Amino acid sequence: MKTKLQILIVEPSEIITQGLVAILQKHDFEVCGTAENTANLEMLLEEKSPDVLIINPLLNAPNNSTTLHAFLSRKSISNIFALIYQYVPNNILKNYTKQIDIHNDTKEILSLFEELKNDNDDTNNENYELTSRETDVLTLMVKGLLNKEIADKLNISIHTVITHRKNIVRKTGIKTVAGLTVYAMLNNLMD
Amino acid sequence: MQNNYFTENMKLADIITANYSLVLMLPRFNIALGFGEKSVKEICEKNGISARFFLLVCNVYTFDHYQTNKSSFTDMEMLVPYLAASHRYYMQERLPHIEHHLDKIIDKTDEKYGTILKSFFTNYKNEVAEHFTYEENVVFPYLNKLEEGVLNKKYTIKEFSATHSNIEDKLNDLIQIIFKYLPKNVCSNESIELIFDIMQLSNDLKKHQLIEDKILIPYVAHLEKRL
Repeated sequence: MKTKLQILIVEPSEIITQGLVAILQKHDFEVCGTAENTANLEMLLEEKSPDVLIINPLLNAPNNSTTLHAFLSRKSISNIFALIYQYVPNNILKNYTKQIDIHNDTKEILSLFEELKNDNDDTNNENYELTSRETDVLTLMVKGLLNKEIADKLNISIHTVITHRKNIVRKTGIKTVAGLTVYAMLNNLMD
Repeated sequence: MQNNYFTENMKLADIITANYSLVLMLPRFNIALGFGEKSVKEICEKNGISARFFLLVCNVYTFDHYQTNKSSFTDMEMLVPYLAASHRYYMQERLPHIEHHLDKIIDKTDEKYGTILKSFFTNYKNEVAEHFTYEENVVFPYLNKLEEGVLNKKYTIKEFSATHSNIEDKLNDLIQIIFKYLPKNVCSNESIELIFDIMQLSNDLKKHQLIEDKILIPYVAHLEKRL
C-alpha cells in the first residue's frame, strides 16, 4: 500500500508557495494544505496530519507564545523542512530536519522528498508473517502458559511477551486463544 | 445523524429500507410481512406491541451512538420476550445453518484439519448456549422479580455486566481462519456463502450485545435503584 506523502506548506510569499506547489504536484507529491502565516497552524496540523511540513523558519510561532521551532518541537510531526531564501542563523536551522533553499534546482529539491518516500514504503512493507520469536510465544500461549511463565521460559520480560501477543493478534487477525490454537494446528506449529 | 433517529410516524418500510438488517426484528416481534405503507405506530398498535420499545430496539440496533437514559425505559414488557426470541433465532436457526455449511467444507478438507475446525465450532456453540442459558435462567427471572417489586439481595446486575463475555470474537476468528488459513480450501461458493453467513451473524450478535449493554443492564440497574 503506497500512500502519497502529504505535504503542508507555510510561507508568506505566494509566489514561492505556488512555485513549490507546482513543482511538487508535477512530480506526484500531494500538497495537503498551504498557509501564509502560523495563525491556524495548530488546527492545520491536526486536521491534515501531514508527513512533511515545509515552513519558513523566520515566521513567528502562533500567538507569539514562544519561538517557532520550540512550538514545532512539541508537535508529533517527524519531518519539518526549513524553507530559506535569506540568511537564517545556524542555531535556528539546526532544529529542522532538512532545508529547502529556493536557489536549489528542482532535482535537488525532489531528492529530499524521494528519500522520505522510500522510508514511507519501508514502514508499509512490514513483514506480516510471524517471526520465529512470535511463533515461540504463540505455541506456549496455546499450550495454556501464562504470560509470566512464557517470559521465564523464553528468558524475556513480561512486557516483551505482551508486545509479541499484540503483534500476533494484529498479524493473524485472530483474537481468541481458541482461534489461535486452530491457527497453530493448521500451520503445524504444534508437536 | 443525531436528529435522524427513527420515530413512530415513519413508515416501517422506510425504516427497513434505511437499514436492511432490521428485517430481523420482524419475526422477533411477531410482525408479519406485507405491511404496505403503514407507519410504525399503526403496525405496532395492530400487533399489540409498544411502539416506544420497538423503536428503542431499532434505534440502538442502527445507530451506534444512540444513547439511552431513564426515560427510554417505559413499556419494557417486551424486553425479555424480545431477547429470548433472539436467542432462539441464534441457537435454533443461524448456528445450525452455519454448522451445516461448515460440515460441507470440512468434508472436502483433510480429516486432520476438519477435526480441528469441527471441535472449535462445537466448543463455540456450547459456549454461546451456556451464555444464553445463564441469561435465561438467572438474569431474566431476576428482572421479572424486580418488575414485580421484589429485590433479591443476593444478586445484582453488576455481577452480570462484569462477566458478560463477548461472543462474537470467536466468529470473527473463524472467518479469518476459513479465508486465510484453511489448507486446500478451494474457493467454492460454499466457503464464500459461509463467510457471509458468519459475518451477518457476527454483526447481529454485536448488536444484540449492544441492546443488552444499553437497554437490559441499565434498565435492571434502574429498577434495582428504585427498590
